[in-house]
Amino acid sequence: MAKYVMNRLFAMVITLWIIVTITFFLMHAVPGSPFNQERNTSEAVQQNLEAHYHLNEPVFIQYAIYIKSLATLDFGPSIKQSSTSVNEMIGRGFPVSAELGITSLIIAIISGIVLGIMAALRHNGAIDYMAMTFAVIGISVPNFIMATLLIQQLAVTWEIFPVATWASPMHMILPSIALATGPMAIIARLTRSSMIEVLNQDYIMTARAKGMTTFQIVTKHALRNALLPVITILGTLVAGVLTGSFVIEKIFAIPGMGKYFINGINDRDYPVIMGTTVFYSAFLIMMLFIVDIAYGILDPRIKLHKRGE
Amino acid sequence: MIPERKETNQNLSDHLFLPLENSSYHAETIAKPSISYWKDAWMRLSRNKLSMAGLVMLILLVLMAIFGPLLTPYSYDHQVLTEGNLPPSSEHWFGTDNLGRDMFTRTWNGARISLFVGFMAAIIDFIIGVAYGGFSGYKGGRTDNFMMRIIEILYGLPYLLMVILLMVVMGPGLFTIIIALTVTGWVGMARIVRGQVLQLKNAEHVLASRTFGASAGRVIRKNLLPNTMGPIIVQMTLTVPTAIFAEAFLSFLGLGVQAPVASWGVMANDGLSVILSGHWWRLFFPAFFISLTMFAFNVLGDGLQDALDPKLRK
Amino acid sequence: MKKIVTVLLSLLLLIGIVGCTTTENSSSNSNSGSDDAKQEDGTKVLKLNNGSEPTSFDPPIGFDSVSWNALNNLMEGLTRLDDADQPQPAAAKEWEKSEDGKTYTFHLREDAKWSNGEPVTAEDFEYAWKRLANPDTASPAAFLSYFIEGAEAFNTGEGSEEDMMVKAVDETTFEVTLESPVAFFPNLISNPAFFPVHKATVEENPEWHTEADTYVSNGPFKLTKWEHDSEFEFSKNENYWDADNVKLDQVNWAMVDDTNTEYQMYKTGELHTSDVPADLSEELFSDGKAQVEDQSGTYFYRFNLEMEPFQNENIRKAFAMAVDQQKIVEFVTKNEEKPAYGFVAYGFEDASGGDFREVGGDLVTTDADQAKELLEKGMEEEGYDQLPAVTLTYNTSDDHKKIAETLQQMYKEVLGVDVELANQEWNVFSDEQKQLNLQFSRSSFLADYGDPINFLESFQTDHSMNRTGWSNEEYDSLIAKAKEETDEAKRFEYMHDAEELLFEEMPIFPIHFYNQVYLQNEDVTGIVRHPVGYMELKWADIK
Repeated sequence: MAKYVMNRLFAMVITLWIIVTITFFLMHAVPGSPFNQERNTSEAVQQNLEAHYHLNEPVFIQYAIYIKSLATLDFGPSIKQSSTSVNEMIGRGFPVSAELGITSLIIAIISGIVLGIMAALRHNGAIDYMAMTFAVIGISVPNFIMATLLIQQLAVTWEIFPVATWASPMHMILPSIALATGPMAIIARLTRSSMIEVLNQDYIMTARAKGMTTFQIVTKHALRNALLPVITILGTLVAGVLTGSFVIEKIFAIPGMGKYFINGINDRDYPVIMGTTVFYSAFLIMMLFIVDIAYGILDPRIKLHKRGE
Repeated sequence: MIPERKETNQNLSDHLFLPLENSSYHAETIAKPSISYWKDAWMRLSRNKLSMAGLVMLILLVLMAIFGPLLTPYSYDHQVLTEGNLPPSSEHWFGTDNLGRDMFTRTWNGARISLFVGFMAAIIDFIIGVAYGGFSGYKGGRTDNFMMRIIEILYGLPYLLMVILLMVVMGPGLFTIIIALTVTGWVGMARIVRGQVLQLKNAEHVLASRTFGASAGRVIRKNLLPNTMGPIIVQMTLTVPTAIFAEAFLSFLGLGVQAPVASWGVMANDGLSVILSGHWWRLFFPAFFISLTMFAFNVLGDGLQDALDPKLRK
Repeated sequence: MKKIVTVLLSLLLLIGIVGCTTTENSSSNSNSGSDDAKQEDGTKVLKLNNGSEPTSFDPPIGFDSVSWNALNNLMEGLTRLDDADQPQPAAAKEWEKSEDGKTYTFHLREDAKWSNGEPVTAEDFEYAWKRLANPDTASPAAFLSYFIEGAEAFNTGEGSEEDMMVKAVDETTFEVTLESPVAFFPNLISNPAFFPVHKATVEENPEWHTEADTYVSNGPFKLTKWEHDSEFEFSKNENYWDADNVKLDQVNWAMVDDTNTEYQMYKTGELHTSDVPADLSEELFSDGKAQVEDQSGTYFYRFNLEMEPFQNENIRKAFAMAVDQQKIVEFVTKNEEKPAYGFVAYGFEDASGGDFREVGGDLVTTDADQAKELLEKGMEEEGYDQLPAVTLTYNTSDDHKKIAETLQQMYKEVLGVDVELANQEWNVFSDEQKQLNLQFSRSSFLADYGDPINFLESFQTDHSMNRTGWSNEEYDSLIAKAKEETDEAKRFEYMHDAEELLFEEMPIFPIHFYNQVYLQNEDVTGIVRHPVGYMELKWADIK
């Protein structure tokens, strides 16, 4: 186990380094500069600015400088907001994005599993069809439309929730729901199908025969096995929630990471692009790793070190 | 199946030991016509009404994408500025947009774009994914390990960043969108194919084939691929709507197809502020057809999954 | 089969909410922004939206409206624009101009104070202005200081700090010598680039402007809270010399960059002002809810004279005359902009009180027949049987897209020319335009200071804003003369001549002049929005 973890960690560092390199050169291949303004700035001013951020050096030198500072976990200063470092930006934005992401994931997982179980227990019944329709709608409506609808109906017309920003728990509800619908639907469908499979297994029959109630059967026997496929896709879901949150953050004016990332790209704020990418990638790779470990723990049939053979 | 011996033992009687009749070789004849894997799958799929409904919807959507724009006298980009934002009527079945263009024509023209993006993405994913995954899984060992590392890197790259960067580098356009969607999209397919091939390559019929000296290509084509087609097809039915969705998402970020052409995603994004203004038809039609397509593909995918899974044969 | 029907129906139902929501809403939005704006405890808190995080509250750095709209109310320069857009004494109580119009002497108020209680001195101004021009500051607004003698040389590294002619004569006397007489200098220095900074604070802590705790200002408000990327808060500055006339107790600034969301927040009273979402403008204008203020700037298109077919003047003119500006503002932008038939916007008065634009008149007209003729003539001159392919490029945005699509249609109808559209992400676009890689492209100009020369100087040969490849010696000399001229009537004459010349050769053609369209809570009064300049909250009040 320890050896496996060490190997994986090493591979993760290498993966991350390759990602950093690809992103760095890709980013510098994109035309434009952080100092582009619609209005006229003189050549001299432009050059002053470029010199200030080493942008006049050859790309390879810049790459070396960047890798060096990255080794000390320093993402450098933002060019656009010159007084803020990228570390500060991540420090500010990530907790908010994480809050949003975790709330939505919790909503998605709980409601998805409940829906899935209900559907499976009443396989081919009315509840099954209703739950699955609900789930399909969740996947079928793009989240920017869902978000705008939620605001208009629940916040503007009925005035139950505030429209936007991130000031109190009440503010968190609408964006979390808007972000949760997609993953919820996926989880519900997955839970349903694996639950149906599990419920037909012999040991469930046995349990039934012993006179256990449906509730007991589900919680004691079925759930653990039915959730395995859900856990496998959890890594992907986390990635999806992170990506989806760009849109939700923009619509709800939430000060999360997505904003920095999009603005970073639009402004050609190189350190911000790099910083957010590296951070996201590291996070993503970490999540995939954790999911693998969790899977191994939950499913005794899988032996970790055998993976990839 | 192992016969339940106890019972049979108890019920032994003489008539069981009578000699066979002359015509006993008839027992070997196949009474019903032989059913291939695909025929069987189709039979099971056609019994699933919801999936069939999905399939019918898809066929209708494709037909409308092809013929829809021809049903009106308008072209998708013809503006009549004085006739902007007209509600649906006998003249403009889906109303007009803010520049006075016929929404019906635009919607079905948009369907062409959206479905094209979806199908192209699925086909490219299929080609790359099957080749990569198949090779990786078949070779195994170091090659496989190395190829999986590459996949891991692609998986770790933030998808949106890659898409946006690519769009900026290559300039917006239909081609760029498809490339951007497939550059990391094939990874999922490759993983699935590899997994299947790993499982199958040690199966008896493959070993037999190898023993008889079949080449690697032949083994993959004749023995491995047909048996992995199920999961591959299911994956493809999910790729199409995902790509359509991703395209809509890119449109929201202003990275959609080149105007005046519009996909459903572009139209939905253009129409987003009508939630405030009341020109509902400008959001409703594109959003409805995106959702309908997603729905159709999803229920079809579900049905196919059941139909193509040999384990679930009854 | 029943199941399928149920499923489909419920799918339809959900999306049907879109329909219900929208129709319901268009008929019953009576409560828009009419909630009581005042806080319950009687304090006056104005709730505004800044759109996004200010780039910087350090005056020479934050060269954009997201920084300077707010900053304009935190700090104060020597002058401040009043509600008629005229410069009034602010940190300076009065000033004199020398005979040759080149030297200004400003006398500061004795009661002008920083938010930390210390007096605003001439030295603070000298320090701040030199800091603006200092190449180490790397201010994107540094070019604004080039009117001052020695500033350009200092900024480009050819001169020294000492040779920049700004001087604190004593505690309250500040003297500036200019390169050439600039009649609008008092107007120019109301710009945030010329705001003072508290020298002691800046020298002690270079990061003073990044947090609310360390921020020192001299304007009507002070910065009391700044949660980065989320919100910031102003409170009335008790130390401000004119504090008696500041009515608001507090201003809360949100950072919402989605127009729909902003509008929805306005509707529920979470904001006091809002932009107008594109699809709503018609309705809001007809209800009389949307308000309009001029903004000095022009939306226009540039031809690239170095690419075929636009080396030909007649073809350029044909493309310009085929466009119907009136139709575009009426049916496409729908924001009550004024259609533009000249380059300099409205709002600049000459010596005899006439408006520059009105005196200059229409320099381009919409004329389909003549456009066709000119195109034929131009093609003959160049020997074209077929017009080379034309691509119109715009930077990615829904608004620009609408106009581009309309132009495409107009060219098809009027000239029978199929123009290709292309959009590029802003940063790429602006790079390509500067390098003259775009054949025919969308452009805009927003004035940095209140004089027509600011518009016209852009098209001098090789000016960084030219971007058309157009060069005309006579034009260059007219601009140079206008810049040296002290007689206002003559100066305007030169500028009119220059503008006429520009349209005779037509390297550009205008679409519309910019304006500021906004919704504002009925209880809020006294917010001043200048055509050139930034939002003023000094006189704002809540009933």
